[in-house]
Amino acid sequence: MSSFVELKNVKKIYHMGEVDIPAVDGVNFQIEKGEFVVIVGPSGAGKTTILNILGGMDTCDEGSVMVDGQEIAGLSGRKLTSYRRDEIGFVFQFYNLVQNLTALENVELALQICKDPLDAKEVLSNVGLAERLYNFPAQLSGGEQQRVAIARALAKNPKLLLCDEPTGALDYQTGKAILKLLSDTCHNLGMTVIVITHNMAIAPMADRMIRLKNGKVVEMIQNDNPTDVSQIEW
Amino acid sequence: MRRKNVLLKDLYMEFRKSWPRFVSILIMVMLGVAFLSGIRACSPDMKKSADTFYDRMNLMDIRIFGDLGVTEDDLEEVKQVDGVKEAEGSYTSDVLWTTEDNQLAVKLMSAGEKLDQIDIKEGRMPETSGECLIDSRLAEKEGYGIGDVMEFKSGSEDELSDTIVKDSFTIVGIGQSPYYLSLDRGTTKIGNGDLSGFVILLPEDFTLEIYTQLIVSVDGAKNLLCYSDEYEEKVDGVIRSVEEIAGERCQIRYDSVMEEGKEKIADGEQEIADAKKKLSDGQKKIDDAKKELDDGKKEIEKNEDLLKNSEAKIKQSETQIAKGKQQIADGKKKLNQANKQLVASKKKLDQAKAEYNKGKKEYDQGKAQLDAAKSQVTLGESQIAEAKKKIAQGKEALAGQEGTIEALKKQIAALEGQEGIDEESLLQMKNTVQAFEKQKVELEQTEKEIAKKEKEIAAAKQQIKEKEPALAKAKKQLDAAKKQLSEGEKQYQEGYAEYTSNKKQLETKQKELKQGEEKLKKGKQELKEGKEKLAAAKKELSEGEEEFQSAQKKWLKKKADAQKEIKEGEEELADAKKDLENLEEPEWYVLGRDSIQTFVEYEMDADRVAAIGKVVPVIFFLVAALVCLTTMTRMVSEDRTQIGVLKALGYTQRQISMKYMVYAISSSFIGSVLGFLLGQKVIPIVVIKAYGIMYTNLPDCLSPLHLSYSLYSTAAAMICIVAATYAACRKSVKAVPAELMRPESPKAGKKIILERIPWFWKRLNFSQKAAMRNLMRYKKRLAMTVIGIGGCMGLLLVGFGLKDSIMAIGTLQFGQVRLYDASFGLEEDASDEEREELYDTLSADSRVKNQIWVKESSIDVKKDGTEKSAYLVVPKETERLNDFITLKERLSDKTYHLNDEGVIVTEKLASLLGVEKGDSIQLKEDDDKEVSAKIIGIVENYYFHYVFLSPALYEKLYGEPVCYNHIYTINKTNTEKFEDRIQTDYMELSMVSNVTFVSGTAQRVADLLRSMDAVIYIIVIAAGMLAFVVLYNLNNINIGERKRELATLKVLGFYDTEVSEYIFRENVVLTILGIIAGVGIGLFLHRFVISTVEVDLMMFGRNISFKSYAYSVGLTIFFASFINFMMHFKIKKIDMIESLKSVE
Repeated sequence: MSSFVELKNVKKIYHMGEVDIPAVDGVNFQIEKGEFVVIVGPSGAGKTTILNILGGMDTCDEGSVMVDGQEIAGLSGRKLTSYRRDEIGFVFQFYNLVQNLTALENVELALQICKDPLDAKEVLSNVGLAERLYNFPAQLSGGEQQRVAIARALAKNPKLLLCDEPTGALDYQTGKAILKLLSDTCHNLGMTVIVITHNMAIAPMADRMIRLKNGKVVEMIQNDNPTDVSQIEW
Repeated sequence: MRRKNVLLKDLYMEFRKSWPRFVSILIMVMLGVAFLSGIRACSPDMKKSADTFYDRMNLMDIRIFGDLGVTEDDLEEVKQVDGVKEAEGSYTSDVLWTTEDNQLAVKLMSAGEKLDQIDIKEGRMPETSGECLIDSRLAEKEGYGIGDVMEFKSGSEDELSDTIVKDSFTIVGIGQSPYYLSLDRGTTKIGNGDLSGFVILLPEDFTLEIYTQLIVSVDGAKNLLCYSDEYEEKVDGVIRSVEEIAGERCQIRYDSVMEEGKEKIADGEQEIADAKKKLSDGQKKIDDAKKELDDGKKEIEKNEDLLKNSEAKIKQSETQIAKGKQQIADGKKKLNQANKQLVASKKKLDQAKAEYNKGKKEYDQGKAQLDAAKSQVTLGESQIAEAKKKIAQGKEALAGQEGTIEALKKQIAALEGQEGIDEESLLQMKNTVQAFEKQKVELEQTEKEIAKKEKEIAAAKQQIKEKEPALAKAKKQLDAAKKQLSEGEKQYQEGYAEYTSNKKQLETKQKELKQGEEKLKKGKQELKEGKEKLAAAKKELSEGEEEFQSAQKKWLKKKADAQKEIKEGEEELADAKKDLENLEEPEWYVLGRDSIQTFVEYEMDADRVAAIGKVVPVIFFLVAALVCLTTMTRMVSEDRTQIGVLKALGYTQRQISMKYMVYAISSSFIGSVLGFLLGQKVIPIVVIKAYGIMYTNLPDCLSPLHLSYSLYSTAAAMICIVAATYAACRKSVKAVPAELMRPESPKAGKKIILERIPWFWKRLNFSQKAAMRNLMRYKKRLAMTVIGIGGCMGLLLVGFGLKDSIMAIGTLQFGQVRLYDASFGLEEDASDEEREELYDTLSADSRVKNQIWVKESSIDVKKDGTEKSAYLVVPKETERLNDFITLKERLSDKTYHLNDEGVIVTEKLASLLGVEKGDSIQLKEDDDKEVSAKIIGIVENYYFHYVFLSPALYEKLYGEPVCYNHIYTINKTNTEKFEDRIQTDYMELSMVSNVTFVSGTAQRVADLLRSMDAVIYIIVIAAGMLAFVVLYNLNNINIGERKRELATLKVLGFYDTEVSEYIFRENVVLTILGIIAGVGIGLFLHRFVISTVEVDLMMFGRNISFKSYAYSVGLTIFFASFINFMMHFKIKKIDMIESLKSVE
């Protein structure tokens, strides 16, 4: 039985005029279902590209990407969209909430297109925003906004939750709370969560840590006893 | 240098990257400027075109009329006035032109020498007497051409010869006068009051003594635009100068007219005196003749008496003669009878005589016989005795005398021979011898015979004895007869004598009678001759009498005429005297071109276009400018970060701003230049051509570039955009770099007002709610888009609506208002029988379904000094009028019926006069009587003005019965062929003066207004282009601003179409809002444009048809959809990576 997520020799090369810049240069790794995965690496290591490819926002030039037994490397635009729609939940660094919609509505926005959604209000109360359902993003703090974003991603009931620097725009405490929420979600719901960050410090809380550098995987550590996020300091 | 190059490169890259934006700004500026400068240029271009035409035709600048006309001397004086360039005298006069089936009032004008030239379309100007040039409109309308002859008739009491030298002129040319630009030729006092056109004659062909007007051109005026203030000022100056000499000239004219008048009065008096003398002479002559005639009559009477006498005499003599004749005849008869008697008695007498004679003869015979018998008896006895002696002797002789016997025998023989010759005696002697022997025998025998004779004598004696008494008796008888006879003879003789005398008398009488007869004959002849003579004389007399009578009659008439004439002459003279006494000092009317109707109308129309130009293009321009500056502002704010970076790097504000300024200036400048070139070259031509439908005579169509419009529209466009750009730049550039490089805080979402209406909000699904929120969030965009779409929709609606309104004249007027198909006009002098005949003919005609008598005439309708001309329609049957003309109030749909309370007027007339239901208006038919009537209804009507009046009210108002002069009919069909046939059939009837068909008018109006399409297409195309660029831009901005949001949606797994829908949903709402706004804008603009463009004579439709709404909405939706379709690809191209970036 193969892994839940499996990347094999994935390459992505950007052509900038006459120069080829390999953003991802033959990446291989596997992720098991229900794992909390942290991908770390410095800027330009190819984390975001990997995430884009995994999230169906970008395609790779070479290699294969298997998600839950489905090869997504060769999918066309529309199929990729379907993949994003049904399989993926995405949490952005800058939350990317629709400013014009309330917290609840932002969640509902995602549910509009979803086959098997969860209840928006429930998800929001699960992320601790039962009181802020009808608030607009501008009325929420950054953490709260990120919680809405997470709720939006979760409500779709995705197979894979991808988070791009979810704490990047947050202060320390709030960042920690968000990470806690993510890991709790992962462990409570059995959801596979992949978090991209440049912050090596949070690696210990992951079930699996993948370290990238210059478009290649330099280290992958499976951690059978992840540290609770509250005990991590950075 | 290097730095600058980098910025230039950046600018270049900006152009390359965003050329659609550049082009869209350019196009919007172009459209706005084109529309603004183009429509604003229309009015001056129209004026310029007219001015060019006027200048080419050398139209006068000033014309001078005088109360007493203007003279040659006046002309010379006017020529001396400062500022007068040319001056000419000209004649005009209105006369009637009799065509085959019409009589039209036309204005005769003398050909100008240098001024008032004619725009010749065909042929040439008149060169010799008897030639004319005819108004091209007239030629076209009446079907006259070069070579045709025009017959003129005076339309007033004056003789035609007082005006022009002859009454027929040959057309040698067809052309246009600068006095008339439009189809309207003005009014006149003659004919039906409408001038149909003008006719140009040589000045020599006018017999008028003095000029009707002087036409003057002003030095330097030609170079000026005739609608300009400068022109007016210049001409006004000369007008004042002319007015300065007017007083003196008028005094001179006054004196000369006075003089002339006095002379004329003297002449007139003399004339009247002559006439009176002539009259009395004539009377004398007639009297003489009458006397002569009477004498003749008397004589004839005398002669007649005489003749009668002689006739009586003749008659008398005739009877006398007849009597005489009768008498004569009687006499003759008597005479004849007498004659007959006489003859009878003669005969009797003769008979008696003859009887007597016979008796006598018989008696004589008897006597002689008796005597003879007696003598015989005696003789016989003597003989017997002798014979017995002899016998005895003879017997003795015989016996003895044998010789003697022989001798005796010889003697006897000798006796007997004495009687013959000797031989014979010899023979006889032999015979005697024989006879002797025989005598012997005979003697024996004689003896026996004597015995017998003795016996016989005895018997005879006896017999005589017996006979003697009878004879005596006979003798006695005879004697009695003789006596009787002689008595008868005597009687006869007496009778005969009487007869002869009678006869003689008769003959005399006869002769007398004959003479009498002859005399009678002669008398008769004489009488006959006399009678003949008398008859001749009588005939002569009667002829004379007749002659006299006719002469008298003639004379009487002549006398009456002469008397009338004299009376008139006297009256005239009195009037003339009075006039002369009252003769006021004449005045001159020195008028400019603004005394020409079309000159002013055209100016008003040009001003109307200017009025449209004031608002419509401004709205257009503003929409365009607004969108442009939004685009520029957006462009600057998009570059916020870059500006921050540049600023942080130390570039100056100017250097940073330069890129945007260059971008704004170049796009708006190029757009402006293209715009004013296109606008001022194309739009005025289209508009002038469109107005050319009305001003058919204006051949010129100029569209120069106007510096002012070009400059200010360009300036307006550039200032708007550049200033907005500059302001945006300044705002951005002024901020501290750090602030600039931080993402602009996103606009906060908030509850919108709609959420406060739960029942509505609940009904919306999630996407709709989101769309609503988004709409409300970008209020600026909402407003801009709604204005853009609304503007587009409004302009489209104006375009289509204008067409509707114009077409309404055709479709509504002739489809719904005028229900009748044809109008039959009657000759003015048609008799009642002819009227009946026509009506009956129409009734019998199966092609005609319905008909009604109406009176139709031109009237002036007045209210508080405003006067408009209209048609008066008086139907014979008021109730049935509604079958022929819809009398309906437009807005309320209420149908009116004529009653005797007041009049029904048409809508436009009411609005022009400013009257409402219940108000009173004054009606003036002809010049004489003005009546006042109350308005009982105002009805829908689009072409011309009408006043409907009931016959009873007409009679009450005018005090005379209605004379119906038209029959309206509803026909079975209205195909061209069908109507042609009807027209041909009915024009043959003498009483029909014209047959007009509503369909014909409808067609003409439709044709007339069709070229307005051009204007409409301009508007539609402009609206379309505006819609396109505006929507493109706004969508572009919208998508640009929301890239991140859209990218997020994509990441969330929205399909491309779903992402597009997310935006489109908003656009649909915007489009709907825009359309709603557009309907409002359109209705307002349409109303405004209609009311400014509309001419007095017509009412354009006030309504925009459903079809036009549909077209406008359809086109707007099409434009919106097309833009959305384009935007879909733009959305598709949005990279999801955008969502990962930080907020810029």
